[in-house]
Amino acid sequence: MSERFHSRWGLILATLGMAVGTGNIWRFPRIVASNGGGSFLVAWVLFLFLWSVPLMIVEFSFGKRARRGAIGAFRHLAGDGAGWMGGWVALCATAIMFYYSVVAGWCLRYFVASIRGELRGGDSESFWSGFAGSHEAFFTHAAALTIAVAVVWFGVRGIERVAKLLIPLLAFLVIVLAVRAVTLPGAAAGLEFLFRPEWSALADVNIWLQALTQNAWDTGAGWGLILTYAIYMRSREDVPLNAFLIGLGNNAMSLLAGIMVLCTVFAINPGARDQIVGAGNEGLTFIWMPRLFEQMPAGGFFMSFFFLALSFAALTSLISMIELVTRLLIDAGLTRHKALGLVVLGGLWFGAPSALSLDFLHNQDWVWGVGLMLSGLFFAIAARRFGVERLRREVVNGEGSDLKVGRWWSFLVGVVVPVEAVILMVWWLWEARSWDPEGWLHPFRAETVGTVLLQWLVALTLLFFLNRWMGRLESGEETEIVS
Amino acid sequence: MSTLAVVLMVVICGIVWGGFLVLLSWMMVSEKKKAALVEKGQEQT
Repeated sequence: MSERFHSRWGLILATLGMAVGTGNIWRFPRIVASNGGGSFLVAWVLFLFLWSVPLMIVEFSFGKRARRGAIGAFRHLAGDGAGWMGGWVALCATAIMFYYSVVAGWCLRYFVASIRGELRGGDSESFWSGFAGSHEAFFTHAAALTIAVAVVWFGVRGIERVAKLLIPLLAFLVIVLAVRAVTLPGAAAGLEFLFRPEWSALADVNIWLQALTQNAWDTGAGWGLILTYAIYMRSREDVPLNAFLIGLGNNAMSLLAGIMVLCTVFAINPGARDQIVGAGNEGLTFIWMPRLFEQMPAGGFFMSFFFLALSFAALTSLISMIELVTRLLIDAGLTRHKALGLVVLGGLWFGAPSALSLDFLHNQDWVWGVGLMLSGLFFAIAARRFGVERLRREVVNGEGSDLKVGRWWSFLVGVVVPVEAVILMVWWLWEARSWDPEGWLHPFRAETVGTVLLQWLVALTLLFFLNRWMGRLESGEETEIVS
Repeated sequence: MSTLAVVLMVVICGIVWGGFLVLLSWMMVSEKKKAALVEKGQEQT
C-alpha cells in the first residue's frame, strides 16, 4: 500500500473538505436561529470538545494504526468479531453517499441557474418544486457523482490536489459572503440575534441535544470518513493536533455561514425571520436565499457565489464518501478503477429513488442520520476493546505527535461519548413520536420510529451474519471471487 | 448590539477562529522543524 498524502497540508485540507459540507451552510444557521442563538453557541462549542474532537482522534488513530478501511480497521483493532460494527459505519456513510450525491447535484444546478439568471424575477418556489424530484434532478445527481468519481479516480493525489484548490476557494467565497452580509444596513440585528445569549434557554435540555446533534452531523466525527483519509497519513504524522485543527476549522466555517445567512435575513427581510428559519434546509437554501439575494444590491453576483460555495462544500464531502466505499472495495481485492466502476453504478442506481422522490431522500436522511450516532458508539466500543489507554499511548501520543493528550481523552472516549450516543439516539426516536403521533411505528412512512427500527434491524442482522464472510473478503482470502 | 452579545461574539469567535489560527500556526512551525530534522539527517548520511 503505497498511496500517501504528499503533505500534511494535503491531509488537513482534504479532511476539512470532508467535514465542511452543506450541513455547515444550510443547517447550522437554521438550528442556531431556532434554538436560542447565543445560548446554543455555548453548548455547541462545548460539544465540539466532548464529542467531535475525541471521536476524530479515535478515527485518525484507527486509520493510522490499521491502514485499512472501516471493516478492516475494526477487525484489526477490536478483534475479528467486531467487523460488523465497521460494516455498520461503512453502511451508514455509503447510504448517505447515495442521497448526498443528489444534494450535491441540486447545488450544482442552482449554481448554473444563478449564473444563467433563471432564479431572477421568477418564483423560486416554483423553480424548486419543478426541479426537486424531477428527471432533471436525476441528471444533476449523475453529474455530481461523475465529478466526484473523476477526482477519486486519481487516488489520494487527486483528492489532495482538488482539496488544495477547492477549500481555500470555499473559505474565500464564504468570507466574501459573510463580509457582504455584515455590511448590509440592518445586519447588526442578525449579529445580535446570533450572539445574544438567553441564559434561561440553557436550562432547556433540547438546546443541548440539538447542539450535540449539530456537532455529530456537521463535523463528520464518527462517520468513518476521517478513518479512511487517515489510512494515507504518513507514518510520522500527528493525530491530536490534526483533530483539533479540523474540528475548530469546521466550526469556524459554520460560524461564518451563520453570520452570512442570519445577517442577510435580518437586513433584507426581518419580518419573515421565523418563516425562513422554519422552512427546513431545502426551503431556506433553495427558496428563501434566492429571494433574499434578489433584493440585495449586486444580488445575482452574490447568489452565484453562494451556490458555488455550497457546491464546493457538497462535492468535497461527497468525494470523501466515495473514497470510503472505494477503499472498502480495494481492501476486498479490487483495483481502484474497478472499485470506482462499481461505485458509479451503485451510486446511480441507489441514488435514483432519492433524486426522484423527496420523501425517499428525507427517509434516508432520517434513518442513516440517526444511524451515525450508533456509528459513534461503535467507534467508542471498538476503542474500549482495543484499550483506550493503549490507543492513547501507542498511537495518539505515538510517533510524530505534536500535541500529547492526557487521560481526559480516555475518559471522554470510554465513558462520555457512549453515554452521549445513547442519549442522542433515544432522544431523537422519542422526538419522532410527536411528528406522527398516530403512525410513529409505521415502517413505511418517511420519518417515523418504525422505519428506523425496520431498516436498522435488517442492516444489523445482515451485517452480524455476514461478519465472518466480510472478514475473509477483507483479509484477501476471497479476493479471487470478487476480482 | 448589546454588550452581552458583543462579549459572547468575542468569546465564541475567539475560541473557534482564534483556536483554529493558533493551532494552524503551531502545525506550520512543527512541520518546519520536522522538515529541518529530516534535512539534517540526510546531510549526516
